[in-house]
Amino acid sequence: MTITFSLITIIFSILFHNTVGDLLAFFFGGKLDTFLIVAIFFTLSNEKYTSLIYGFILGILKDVLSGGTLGINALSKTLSVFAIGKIQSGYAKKDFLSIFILCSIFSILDKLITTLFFYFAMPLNSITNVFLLETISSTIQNAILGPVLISLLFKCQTKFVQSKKEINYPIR
Amino acid sequence: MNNFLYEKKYIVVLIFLLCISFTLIILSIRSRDRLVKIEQTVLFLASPILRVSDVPKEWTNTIWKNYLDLQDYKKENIKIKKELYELQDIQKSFLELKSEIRRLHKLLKLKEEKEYEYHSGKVIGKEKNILLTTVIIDKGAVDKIKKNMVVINSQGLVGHIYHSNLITSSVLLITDPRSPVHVKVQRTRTQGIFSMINETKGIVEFVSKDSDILPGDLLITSGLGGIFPPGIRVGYVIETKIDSSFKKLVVEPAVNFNKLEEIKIMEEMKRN
Repeated sequence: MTITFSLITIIFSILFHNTVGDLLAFFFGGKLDTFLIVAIFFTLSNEKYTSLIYGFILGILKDVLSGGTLGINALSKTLSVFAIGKIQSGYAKKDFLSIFILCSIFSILDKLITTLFFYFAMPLNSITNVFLLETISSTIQNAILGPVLISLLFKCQTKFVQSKKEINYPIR
Repeated sequence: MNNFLYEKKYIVVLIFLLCISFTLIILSIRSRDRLVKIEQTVLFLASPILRVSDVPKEWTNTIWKNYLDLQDYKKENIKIKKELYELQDIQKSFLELKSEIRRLHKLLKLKEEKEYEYHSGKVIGKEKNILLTTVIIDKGAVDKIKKNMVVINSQGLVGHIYHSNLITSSVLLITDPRSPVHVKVQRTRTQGIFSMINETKGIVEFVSKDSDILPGDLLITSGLGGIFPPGIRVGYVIETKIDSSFKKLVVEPAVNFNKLEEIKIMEEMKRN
């Protein structure tokens, strides 16, 4: 996968996060984590090594754009990408159901890492019902829209980017 | 061997990235100021994308706002329609009453109500006195404007033509103390003489003491006096005072004489 396509995907994730994500957040409370979905896509379509860096970049981007604690999303996304990379090496299915399960599990994991971190770093901040509802809403959105977006990105990738694994036949 | 090295490199990168993340978190919690430059750089790089994403965001907001407005308009529309139907009913009964009155007038051989043709005009000059008494309009004898024709606007009675030149005319306003108007209270039909006491207030004198007049009551021309036809809005009662054997009404004129621009001149139509 070329760097250009990766950059376009990152730009797309920012655009999607700020438009559709905001709109969904307005209606359903929780916000769709486009950066996590794109990180999962990168992990499924890239080498483990490259996807780690992309995951970190996406995390930093989310931190800066959300205005929260810098580094927290970078940490959670890097860990998520690492875990997906480990799973992917033994289980390489890319069908809708597998991606649905991946998105669901890693949405929860992502939220769990950030929540646990806040819980230990700032114990005074208690977990409210609103936060829980937003987390559930965000997880459901990620689980439903994640596979759709990822399969769309896969389609774009196959259409616009030439695979590296393509066999080059010798010139006769 | 290669695979082992690759895995080692992978773990090293992971640890390196986690270390950066932790450092950023600690710095972010302890001294956020040090990270401002990093944030600014990332935001600077992402700013064109954020600007682009603001466009559909704005659209969405506008669409949503319009949708909410539309909901209000829908409710308002239903209310207005209801009022319109009620007014249409009133209009129908009014027209029937009008035709009935005409029939009765014919039966009783009474003089029929006068009908008017309207000439639109504009105020082109104002005489600046303590009391603004006359204004000059852009219609004159050429436009069939004659002395004593009644001048009104959308708010109510303005005055009457005092002098008609070839292309302009002078209008004596009802604010002039020399131009009293015979009026009646629309609700109670009580009559009196209206005249202005200053630029914004008028007074109705010779109102019978036992009349039941309340603030907010509408005053219309009574038709007596020969110049002004009946039924033209003159003003609203703002206060009632008892003065010896009569009542005095303090009145706010319906017309804002300081903002007088467009007017209409009423020309009596001749019957065949």
